[in-house]
Amino acid sequence: MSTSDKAREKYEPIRAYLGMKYELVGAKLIPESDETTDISEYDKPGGRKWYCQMVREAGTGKHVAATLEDFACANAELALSLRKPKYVNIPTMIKETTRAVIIGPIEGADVILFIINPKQAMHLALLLGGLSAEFKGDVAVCGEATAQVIVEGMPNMTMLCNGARMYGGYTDSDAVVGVPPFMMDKILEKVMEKQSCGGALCGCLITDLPPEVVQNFKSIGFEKNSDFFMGTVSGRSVRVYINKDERGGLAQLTMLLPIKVKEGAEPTVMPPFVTKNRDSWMDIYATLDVASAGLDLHSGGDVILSIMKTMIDAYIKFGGE
Amino acid sequence: MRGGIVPPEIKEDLYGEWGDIGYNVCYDCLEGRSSLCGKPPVKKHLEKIAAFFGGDAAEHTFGCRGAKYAVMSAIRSLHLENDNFCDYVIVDPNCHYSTIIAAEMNELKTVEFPHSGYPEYTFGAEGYAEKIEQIKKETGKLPALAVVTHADPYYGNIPPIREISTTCKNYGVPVLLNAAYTGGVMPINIKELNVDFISLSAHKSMMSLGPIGYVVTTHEWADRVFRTSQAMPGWSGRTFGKKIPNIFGCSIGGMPLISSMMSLPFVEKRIVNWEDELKKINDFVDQIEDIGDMMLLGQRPHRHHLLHFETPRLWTVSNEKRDKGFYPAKFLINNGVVGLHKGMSKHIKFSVYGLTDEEREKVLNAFYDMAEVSRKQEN
Repeated sequence: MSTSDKAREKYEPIRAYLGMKYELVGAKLIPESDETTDISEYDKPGGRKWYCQMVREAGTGKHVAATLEDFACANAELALSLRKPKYVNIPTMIKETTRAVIIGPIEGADVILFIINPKQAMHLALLLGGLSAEFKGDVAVCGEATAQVIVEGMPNMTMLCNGARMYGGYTDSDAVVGVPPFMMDKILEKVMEKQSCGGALCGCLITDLPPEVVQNFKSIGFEKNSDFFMGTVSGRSVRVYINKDERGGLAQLTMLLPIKVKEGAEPTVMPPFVTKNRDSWMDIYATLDVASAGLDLHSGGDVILSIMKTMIDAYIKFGGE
Repeated sequence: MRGGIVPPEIKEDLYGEWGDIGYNVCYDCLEGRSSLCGKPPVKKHLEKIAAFFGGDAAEHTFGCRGAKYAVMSAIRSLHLENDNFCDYVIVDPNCHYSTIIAAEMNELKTVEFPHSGYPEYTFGAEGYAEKIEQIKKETGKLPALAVVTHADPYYGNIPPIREISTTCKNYGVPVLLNAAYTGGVMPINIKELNVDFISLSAHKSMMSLGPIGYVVTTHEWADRVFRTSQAMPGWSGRTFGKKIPNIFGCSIGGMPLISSMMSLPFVEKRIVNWEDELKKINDFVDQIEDIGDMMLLGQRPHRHHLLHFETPRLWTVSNEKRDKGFYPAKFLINNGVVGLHKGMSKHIKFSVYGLTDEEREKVLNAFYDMAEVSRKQEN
């Protein structure tokens, strides 16, 4: 397996997550000053082609190294700095003249190109935490998705250009996103996080408590168990259960102290706490209405802890106290 | 799953007589469907299964999920043919995921009602009544099915079946009892419980190799659930009149079916002792809770052998160990006790059903030893 295969394999979960038809395409510009990189180990494109066409073909596995004579599109030649402009005013973002472009391999690429549809772009944007789409409909895959991303180091989406649609073989729903290689590991991490949130070990998520609520209770020392929280208040083992209303809203908070009756004298309990016997256990519990008690389940952890402590200290007297 | 342990007495014959051929059930089949087979006597076996659960007809299926699929498929046809029923199925909030998937596969919508929450997670007939009323109000029709899970997979709770089925039947809503965790462990009778279908899992609760389950029903529903194929592709003139589409034509054969057939006499024998087993299970619960900071979740006294404990101290101790959440299972394995779900430490599920007194004692001691190690660590 070549090194490029290893990189491709590594990032394959991203492609699988997005449901991409095309493989990820790496593009690497070899500057004239680089005399050591041997491009002869790559295939030639097989005639003059558009850069965007070569990118799409690389998405089906055809990796090539293209030099100036392989390009059929003057805009790409200029955008990728294979040739410097003499008679037109096209800004050249790549300063050094490019000797060749290696199109396909991920390992060592200067930019990773995603050939995707709008829905996939939406999911990629979520993984990236936002995605700019700076495009003019001209100099697209070569300029907006390749040169610009290499120079600016930020991802960019292009809606392609007429050349790509007419000669590059792209369909009406295709777009291309260029991503700097250093961002790939972060994207992969996000994908793996999403894939691992199956919930319980059986693969079934048995509660939909929002992560902020879980984090909020964690911040006051309460750990989430299956669908409830467990922690300690005033030295007592306390459980917190969030009661849902009919529509599934987080409506009430029940704090519950399970006491094994035969362990000691029965505690004295005052309202709002009540008791319920379960065989050899006594549950001491109080249920608070989240809205009327002014509880913020998402971020008000300290207040919740303070209320629970005040209530437990004031209204429950354990044997011997 | 302790209820699926294969009786040692049958192992020699099972592998010796039937272990060489993949198509072992089909070798002498003259009918074109395994459930009609006379040699081995699958047809007779299914009659026994139906009778054992008080039903009129039974078919073997690809696990309990296959049984639920068959019922849901029949229910879909009911909804499509009968204007009184909509495409809603009421499920209890503790139901197994495959109940919901079986409905989903048949394009039926599932709705659930709340359980009582921590720490008992119980429910009764009122949840079903409220949902039926709500669906009637919204659609002008009845839900096509109500599903009750008899011993749920999370807490091992047994709901008040008779009360639930009577409520649903009074509305005219058919009832499926999912007895994957109970059928073959405790006595169940479809008519006494007033339900229309029972889905069963032989590898969970009937001492069999898997995957195999059963769907048991009454004459009232048998034609619809076990309706044979009507398909006629055309050109060749082929038809498949003995195949039952709802169980994929001819259901699972091979070692699972043979194993379940050989185990049935042992199943029939053991359920007689269910109340004794239950007492031993509840005694075990009391003893293990004496360790401290372990509490059974679900009904008390418990009515099933699946035990789910919350174990906050075990979690704290496990966090300090290299194996983290895998520590409890590893500790028990090293002490000769296998079966605890690996990776769980905040709460654990297991069963001591069918163990001898000595074996239960061994399990208990292993937990005590683990607690002792924990105490030393905390000090």
